[in-house]
Amino acid sequence: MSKDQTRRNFVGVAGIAAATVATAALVRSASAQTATGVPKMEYAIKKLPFDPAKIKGISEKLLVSHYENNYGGAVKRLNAITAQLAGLDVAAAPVFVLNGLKREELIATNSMIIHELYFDGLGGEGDPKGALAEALKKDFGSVERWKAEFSAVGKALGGGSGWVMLSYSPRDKRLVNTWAADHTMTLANGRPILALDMYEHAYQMDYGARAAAYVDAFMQIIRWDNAAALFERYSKET
Amino acid sequence: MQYHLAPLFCRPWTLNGITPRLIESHYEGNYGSALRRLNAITEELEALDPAMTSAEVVNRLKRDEAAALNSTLLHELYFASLGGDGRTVPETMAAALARDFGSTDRWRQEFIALANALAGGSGWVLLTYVPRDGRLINQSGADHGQNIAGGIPILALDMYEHAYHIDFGSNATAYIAAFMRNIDWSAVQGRYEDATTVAPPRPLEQKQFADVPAMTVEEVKAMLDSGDRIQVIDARPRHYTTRAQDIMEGAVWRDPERLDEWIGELSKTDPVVTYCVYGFHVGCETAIALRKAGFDARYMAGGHYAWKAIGGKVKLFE
Repeated sequence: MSKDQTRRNFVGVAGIAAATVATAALVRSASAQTATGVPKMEYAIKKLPFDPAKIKGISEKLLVSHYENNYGGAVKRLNAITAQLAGLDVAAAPVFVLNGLKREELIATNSMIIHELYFDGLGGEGDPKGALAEALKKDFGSVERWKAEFSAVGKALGGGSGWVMLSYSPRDKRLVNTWAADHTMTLANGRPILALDMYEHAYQMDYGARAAAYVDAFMQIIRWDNAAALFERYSKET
Repeated sequence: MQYHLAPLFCRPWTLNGITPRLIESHYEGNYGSALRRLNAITEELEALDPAMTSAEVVNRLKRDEAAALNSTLLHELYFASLGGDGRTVPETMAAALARDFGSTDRWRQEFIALANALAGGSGWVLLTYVPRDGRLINQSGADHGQNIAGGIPILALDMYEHAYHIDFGSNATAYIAAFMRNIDWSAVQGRYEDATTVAPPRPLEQKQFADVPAMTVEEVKAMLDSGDRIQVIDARPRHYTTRAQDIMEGAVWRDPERLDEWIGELSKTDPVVTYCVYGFHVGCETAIALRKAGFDARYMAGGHYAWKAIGGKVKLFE
């Protein structure tokens, strides 16, 4: 696929996604009822929050593929699973069918949510400022120490799959770096404010097996205002 | 101990639709690093005093050791699965696939479907020989650690994204098709032949009862279900019956100590099946006594709990 073609496809998908978001923010269409009476739920694909041609260190081709295939694929899968679940007689279904669907639903939902956080965190530069920087100092000793831990956890996941997240834990009102080997591993009641995708689809196309180089590149392009805004909101919740 | 590197089994320049660049990155960056990690973990494990080490450290090292060792083993199998033309399935292998999957085509459809279902994540699809049942099974694992216990994998498809992103991007379907085109079936058959020499797990042996014919719970259930005339005797010891809550449906309880009192109720033309709690002694001895008296008696292996374990029907024991 040529670069132009990729770009056109991306714009097409983003256009549809934008329209969907505009007409119904997290669409719940009351008119469509399934046979079981469960309302039909349709998850909408969000627009990519940056121009993929302008992200330093990650190619447009990779970002577009990541957005369309992995993120978009997760949302589509989630909608298919949700429809199946809505049509299921849950009391009569064999346990392995229910286990399977609920497992896949959790995987797809988390993949959708965390990918959105990942994309929201790309396209900036420099270091965190303000209250978030203060909190990192309080909880990790220094921003440098936080960076060292966050990126080391990412590098340790190289060659496999998973996420590194910076999460606010309301229990102790503190920030923690959390490790995940798949989409389902998250801090209980944690509020992630920054996510680093360590699935190989996030870097193989550009970096091959050199996960460490990808992590170093990511650390340079964090859009800190997004993490700061989320931190601001979560830290004020009681 | 040091784990040694296995040279690349397939010849990268002969592969059809998979580039040497991808194989090189995969071999060096993923297989090689798993092996190096394995050696580093092994060294750490050998150096520590297990009794004095915290559970957290032992857990971490053993978990990482298993992941690195499985990654090493499965990657070696993966590279040894490639290098053929993917088409010619030799006779022995084709017969085995037909036996366990219906046909080579049906096997192929299932294997490909499992692989597609792992797209965009990570994992393995394996064709594995299970000695317990002497059969082949397709299995998928979401990481290096999910393997059939006691199974012997003979064909491995790496569905970690590192196995295809460089050549195929996120087009896992194209990668899977390319993998199928490059399977080295004669190597797979060689491994199958090796695997079939492995004996199944040893069954329970009761030498003293070797001459008494036994029936499996499945066989007894099939006879009952098809309406065959069989006489099923629950011969659990009297002292046990005080805590027995249920009894197999279709069975009658008789005290094994008082065989003479009830032997006259039995028909000599219909087979008799006896069983006890777990199938070790009492049921077997009762069957022996009945056989001596001229009955066609057998014991049900595994007894009452084996019956319950297959989900056989029971009723309240009164």
